[in-house]
Amino acid sequence: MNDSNDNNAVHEQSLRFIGALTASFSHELNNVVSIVDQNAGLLSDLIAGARNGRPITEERLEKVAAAIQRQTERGLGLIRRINKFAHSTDDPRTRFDLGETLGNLASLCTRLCDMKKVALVRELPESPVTIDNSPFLIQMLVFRMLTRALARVNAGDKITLELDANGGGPAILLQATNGFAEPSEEERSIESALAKLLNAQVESDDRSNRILLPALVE
Amino acid sequence: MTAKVLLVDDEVDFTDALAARMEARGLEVEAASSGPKALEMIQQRHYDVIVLDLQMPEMDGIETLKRMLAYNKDLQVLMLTGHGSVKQGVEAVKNGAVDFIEKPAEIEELMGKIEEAQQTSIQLLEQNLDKKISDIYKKRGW
Repeated sequence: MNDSNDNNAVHEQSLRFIGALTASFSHELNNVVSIVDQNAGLLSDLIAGARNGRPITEERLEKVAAAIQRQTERGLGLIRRINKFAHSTDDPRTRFDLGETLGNLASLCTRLCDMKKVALVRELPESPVTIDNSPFLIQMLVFRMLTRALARVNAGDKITLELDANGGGPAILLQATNGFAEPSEEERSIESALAKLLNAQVESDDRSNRILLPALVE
Repeated sequence: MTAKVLLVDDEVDFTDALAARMEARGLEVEAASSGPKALEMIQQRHYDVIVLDLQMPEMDGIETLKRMLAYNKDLQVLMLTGHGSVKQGVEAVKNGAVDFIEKPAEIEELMGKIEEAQQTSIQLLEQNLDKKISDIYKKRGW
């Protein structure tokens, strides 16, 4: 592929990536709304019952309130994460905390992993790992690798997302119990186009994918 | 006749609230939080209607539906789908679900669909009973 074809392919795959994440997000948010909706409906039912002489118990009300509170917090968490992700497209290149960005991506991917009964374990440093690069394209590359891991998993497997900032440049390591699905020719060329745009090196073996990123130059 | 409903969804806060609302409307409701659990439950007792979520971890709604119908083809299964998941709802119907309803499910619409499914369930039970009686008659030459 030449550079122009690469850019077109990356652009097309970017849209798919955004689509996949927002579809998962909207499905989960719909679940949250559905729960709040049913609990609001239950409150209306209880009030209607009370008007007809069926007393409402304190315990029942507490249960409904707790469910609404839990789901509101869950919904707000989801919105915060998708908002952070949306802002990762603001600048093609920017200075950002890679650990925080990967943590946010992992949270957004939790539902996809839950659907396959797979644990997505994060091993991310607590202190910021600042780099100057494209947060969006890094997430896209990690997501593609994660998708290939999810294509191979069995229920109960583990996928680990690790960020090692102890060497020269930071290294993102994705390991999967059952390995990764072999990329097609097209997938391989998109991943290498992404690596090129990120000025990164990708190393792969049976059970792991490593993305070596350039260190921040002050 | 009180309809016995099995509600299958991994979102416990959802099943708790919906089950309470259905019970307040005269249904007898039990809940299962996964496809495998629901498959166990249908082998232990008869449910007139099963309300089954499409997207669940481990075993999704379509797979659960197929296994339920393989166990008993007469089961009346209503699918709950995500908002805007008409395509998946149609796929569920093609696989033997009686109908589908999008989340957040409007309670009166759901009750209407449950009532229809319960009527079909009763008719099928009666037909099966008639057939069994007629088989006994035939066997004994009456």
